[in-house]
Amino acid sequence: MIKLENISIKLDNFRTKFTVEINEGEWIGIIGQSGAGKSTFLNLIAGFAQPEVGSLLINNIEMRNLPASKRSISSLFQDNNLFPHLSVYQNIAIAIKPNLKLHDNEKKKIFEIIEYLNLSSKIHSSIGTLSGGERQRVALGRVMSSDKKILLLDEPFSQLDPNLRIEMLELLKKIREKKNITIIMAIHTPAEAIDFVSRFLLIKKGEILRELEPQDYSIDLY
Amino acid sequence: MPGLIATVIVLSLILLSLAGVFEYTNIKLIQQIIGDEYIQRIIFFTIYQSLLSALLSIIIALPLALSVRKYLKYRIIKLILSLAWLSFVLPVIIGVFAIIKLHGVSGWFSDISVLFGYGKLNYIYGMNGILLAHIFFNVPFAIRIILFSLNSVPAELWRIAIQNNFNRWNIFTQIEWPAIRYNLFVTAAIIFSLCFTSFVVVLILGGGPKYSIIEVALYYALKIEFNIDRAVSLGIIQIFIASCIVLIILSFTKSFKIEPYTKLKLHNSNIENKKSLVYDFSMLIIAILIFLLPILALVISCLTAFSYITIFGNPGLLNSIYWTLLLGLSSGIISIVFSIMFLITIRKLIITYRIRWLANLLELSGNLILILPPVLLGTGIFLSLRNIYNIQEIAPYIIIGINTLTVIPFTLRIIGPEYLRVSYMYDKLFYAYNVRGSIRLLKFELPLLRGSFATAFAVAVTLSMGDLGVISLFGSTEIRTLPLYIYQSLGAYRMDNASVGIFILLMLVMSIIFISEYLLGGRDD
Repeated sequence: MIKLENISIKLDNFRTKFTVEINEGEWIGIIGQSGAGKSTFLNLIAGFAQPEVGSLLINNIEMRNLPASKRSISSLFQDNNLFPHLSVYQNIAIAIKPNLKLHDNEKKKIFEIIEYLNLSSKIHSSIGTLSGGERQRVALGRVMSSDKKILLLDEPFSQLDPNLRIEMLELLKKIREKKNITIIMAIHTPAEAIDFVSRFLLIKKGEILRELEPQDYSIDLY
Repeated sequence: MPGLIATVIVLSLILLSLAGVFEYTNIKLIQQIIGDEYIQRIIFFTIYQSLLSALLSIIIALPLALSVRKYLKYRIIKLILSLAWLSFVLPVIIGVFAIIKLHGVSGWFSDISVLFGYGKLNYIYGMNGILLAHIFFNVPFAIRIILFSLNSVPAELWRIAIQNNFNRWNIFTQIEWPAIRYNLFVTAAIIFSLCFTSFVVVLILGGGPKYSIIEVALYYALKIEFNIDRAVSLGIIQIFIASCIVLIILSFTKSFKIEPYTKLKLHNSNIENKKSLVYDFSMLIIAILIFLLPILALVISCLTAFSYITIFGNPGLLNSIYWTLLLGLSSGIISIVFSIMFLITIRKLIITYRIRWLANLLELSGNLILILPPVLLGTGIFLSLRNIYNIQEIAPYIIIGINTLTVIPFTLRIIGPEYLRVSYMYDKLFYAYNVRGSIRLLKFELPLLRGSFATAFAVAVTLSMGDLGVISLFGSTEIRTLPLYIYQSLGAYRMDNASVGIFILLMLVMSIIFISEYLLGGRDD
């Protein structure tokens, strides 16, 4: 379980104050206007931003002083998720061993992930030759290979066309069920996520204004 | 049309020089060149010291840059970097003097050695001095390029590295090296070419013909031995090798850009552990030893040697200040005028007539000087004109002409891209309102391009004021600039005179940079 209690950090125009509990295996959609503090919320959990006060517990362990590298968290960003000089295989393998020297069982695991993501024909392709959807699938592959239990997504599919976005959400759903991971996803097209998320958190000026069941989402919320 | 006039003038000077060189060339001489052991040794040493300098500069710059990257948010680090960058921009003779004040026989290190009873240290002249100076000049340049290459790494990749527990080596191989490797190769090539034609460093620190590069050997042949055959032989070799180097560099440096440090926004990741602090601290010590100590030695030496009596009681020095300003400002202004002439025609060819190949050819004629170093150009002109004119009488014009040609490639590079960008933006507007000719240039383009023109002017004037090669060839007791005054003072072991000369040259150059960038260019950062 993830528990945030009055986690606070000063931003340009306001100070955040997040308090929320997220259960294991949940899929949370973070919604709100640009600049509301969605990315900051994710950065605080990941450890990329250091809170000034408040508490962040993951499975009842205080995380505030734990560096980002020691947290069992993976992130997926809108862009720049992949190392451009590495192949598809290497970009996924890097989460297991950054020096890319894998044992046979580790290699087998990568091949399975690549097959699962339907990327077998691109296994040795360079990143520059992939489409936007394929790139995000490779990035998901890296998340799968890392075996971390919490996945943070910062508007990861916003550069894809609507059909592809739904396809990626379907894939994410399958991964979540298979690996039993908790997903926290900032999204700017919430209507598309209604069938996937457990609930939405509406953020405004650095605070969680409301928690919503997916079916309660409407366009005039903001 | 203006570009055509500029091209004709530039080509005429180059052809005049080449005619002088080739007038003395024949098959027998070329056979002699190939067989001459002395010339073979010079060529070998020129390439050897350039390669070694480039390699050492990169090897030192790489770990320094990777350490510095983490601390760029601190103002003191940016200040140190800017100071180090000065060593690349200021006249070479000032840097050489700083090296001598630190490493010379009467330098700080030698004094410390005497203090501990080990006697004076004499390692500065020869290969050691040349390498020390080249490292001092070129490492800041390499650091700058590496930092800008790292600037292109997106924040997301650093975060992925953190979440996937990358160690120092993984960060280097998977993030840093892929980002810098291309520019590192280009930087090494540029440093190689700078060291290949490093006239001032080798002339002063080479310590004699044993450690000589082609350009210095050419100078010795012409000025000291008056061996025209040898000078011509060396000239031909220089043209051949420099052409190859320039071709290689130009083909790799199309997208090569240098930005000021204020634009650096490197993503500062909290990826490092405490062990790296010790490593970073040792890097800082190396940086201080290489850059700050020579600059400190220079400043202290200038301040202690400076006295009004030496200036006003020394007509030679006053004369040098006069010629430095006259020749430097003249070359600076003319090179800016020529660059504008080139660019007006290049703009028309690219935007109006869409004949890019002709525009490229025109630009190439402005850059042609890169294969003819100033000393060689001067040698050729000297050989062409010596039987027609009294060279001493026309020396100032020749010096201005050669220095103008030498700085045009730099001014073209500084103004050119910005000029074309403005043209693309406003060309249709200018045509619509019939804004043409001098009105367009003075009322619209100059104000829009104020910053670029100011930087180009500063670079052109400081480069011309810092010239030692051409002034050594054509200078005399009447026509002498500060670099020549300093060089002659160093040669006569008059360190106090040299210190005063250095101090004044430094003040002049800094004033030019300040006036250009802040007053003319309107910079406020």
